[in-house]
Amino acid sequence: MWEVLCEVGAGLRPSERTAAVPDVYGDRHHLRVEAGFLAEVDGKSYLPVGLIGVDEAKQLALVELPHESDAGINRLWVRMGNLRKIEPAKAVS
Amino acid sequence: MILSDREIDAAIRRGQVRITPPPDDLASGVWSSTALDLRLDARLQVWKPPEGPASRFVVDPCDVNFSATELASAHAHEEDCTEGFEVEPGMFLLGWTIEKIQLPHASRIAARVEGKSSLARIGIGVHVTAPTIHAGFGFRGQDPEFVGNPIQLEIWNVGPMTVRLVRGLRICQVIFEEVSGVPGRGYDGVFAIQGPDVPPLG
Repeated sequence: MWEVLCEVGAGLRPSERTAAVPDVYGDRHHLRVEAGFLAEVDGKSYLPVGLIGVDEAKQLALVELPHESDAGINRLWVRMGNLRKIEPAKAVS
Repeated sequence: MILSDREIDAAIRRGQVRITPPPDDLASGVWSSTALDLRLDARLQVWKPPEGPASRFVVDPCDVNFSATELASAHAHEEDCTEGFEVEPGMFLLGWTIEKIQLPHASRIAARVEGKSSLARIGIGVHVTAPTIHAGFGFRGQDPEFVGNPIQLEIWNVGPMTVRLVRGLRICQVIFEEVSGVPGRGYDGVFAIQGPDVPPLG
């Protein structure tokens, strides 16, 4: 499972945050999520995304946002350096 | 394929669909044969018409940097419908469901949110064009404690009468459908594809 680096601001209500995901063109794609949906690691915020594919040579990754951005985008190219891989939680018996 | 009430209930029990707080049992009025009603949460964001010399304000969602949050900070105000909020004819506002939804990719279940006929008949709709809740909605695989996201609603009144909304009102219904295959974003593997030409960093 994957997360992408994002900038975080206020949402439309206290439980919500606005995540801005930078793409490879320098644009920032805004979408609102519940605050608990974001992860914070070493002072940086990350948004869960789906990894659709990678271009290793260019170090680029095509990711799918958890839902449509404010500008109507579902998938965007990001720098692979902005991704972090996370391990799913193990099932508890 | 649309899930029946019993199949939705079974999917919830198996953890394929997570709804928090969980719905009442199948004997409750929130169920219909192929849908489940969800309730309106208290906080609303009401869009207001621009005023003043710059009253002709044009929104450009083609700008990929467009932020609805920034727009709302200037052109919407917050309301609370715990004790009721009156939606006047022509009003457009954002609301949220009380229930939070989670659809793990591996469940291969997606959903659609639709309005309630009872509200539609008096002019109230709850989504504009995008009712689909994709497989994977509200899912954080590394955090089993995360229960999901509420559904954001686009509420409008095209009727001639003012309608009062109250927190807890059964505001929408959700239909669950099976997804054929696991969506690409749900795969744990990595596919090689060709990316765009962009300047390298540094």
